[in-house]
Amino acid sequence: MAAAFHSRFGDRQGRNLAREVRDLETKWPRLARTRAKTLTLDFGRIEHLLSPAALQDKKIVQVGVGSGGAPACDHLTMNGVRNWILYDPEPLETINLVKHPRGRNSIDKPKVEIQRDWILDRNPCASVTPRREDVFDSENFRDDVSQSDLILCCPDKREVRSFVNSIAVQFQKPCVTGSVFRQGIGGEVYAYVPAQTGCFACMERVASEQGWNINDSIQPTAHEEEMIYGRNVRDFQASGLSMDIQMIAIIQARVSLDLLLEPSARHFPSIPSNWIIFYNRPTPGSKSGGYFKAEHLRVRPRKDCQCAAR
Amino acid sequence: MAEHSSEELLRNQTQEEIIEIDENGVVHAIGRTPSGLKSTVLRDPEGEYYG
Repeated sequence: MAAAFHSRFGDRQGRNLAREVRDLETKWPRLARTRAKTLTLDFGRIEHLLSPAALQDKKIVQVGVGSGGAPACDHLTMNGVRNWILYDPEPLETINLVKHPRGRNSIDKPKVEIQRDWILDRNPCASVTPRREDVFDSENFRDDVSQSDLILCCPDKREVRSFVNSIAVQFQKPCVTGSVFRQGIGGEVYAYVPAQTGCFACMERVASEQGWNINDSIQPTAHEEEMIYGRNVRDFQASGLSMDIQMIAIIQARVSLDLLLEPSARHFPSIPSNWIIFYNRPTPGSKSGGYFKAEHLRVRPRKDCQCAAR
Repeated sequence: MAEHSSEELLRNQTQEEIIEIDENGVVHAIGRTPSGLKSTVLRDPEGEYYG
């Protein structure tokens, strides 16, 4: 093209134009390569551990992309998960900034759209459907679950957690649930795998039967007392720190990765338990916990539970 | 300077310990008692991800 310019416009202006075109033609292959690099996620440095190609057709329905859900999603995206349906009705607020990994420029935007933008920035080949919906009211939720490979359950309410898990049992889909304990002392990750493990209700049942309840051991903070008894917010619980929450989110992502990858697609052993209780720090007034200590449990389907009948 | 741990001790410390709950809801935990478990295995049924 530079030669064509030069022959057609013989004057000085034409020659300058031809030179600029020639320079651009020289640079173009390098620019094209650079652009191509930004459009794909290069897995070269992790392929000795797993095969991202084995994840590219897996579809995840995620419920909750808050301070725990967002980092869990981040880690799975960085490892090759690229088909997402995200549920969360809430926008990001300034009060979230001490826990949620996203920036101030995302304030007031729906969390599902913020997370979609993060995923597509990291992996432009990803496919993300953001649904700013409450799963209780959503007309899409059951259909989305039926077409998914795994549910990532990261809501901020117990009733949502139970509902999502009941849908997982109904549609026989693996469901990995994460939650953080009061004040961020610890947290748990529970994986329901149809026909292999007990469901979330089986886990809650045995915990109740055994009296495994941290709330019997720790005293409420002054802030919790004020909220619960002073302002009558009965289910109020003081939050943990961002790192308390993300410790659990990372375990949740790791457990999910195990379930999404066939053994032949990863070069590390699978986690032998389906329920991990992780303590960020010792529980005050109790023998439980410790710094970064984990308890591993394995729950079989309870004989008289609906999950065992399927 | 602390004495070096014996190989046997290291093996004992790194043994995989998993608490099993069977299909009848019975808890199996090698070397642990029900009261011991109650004071060391705790969860928060109201736990959440705090938005």
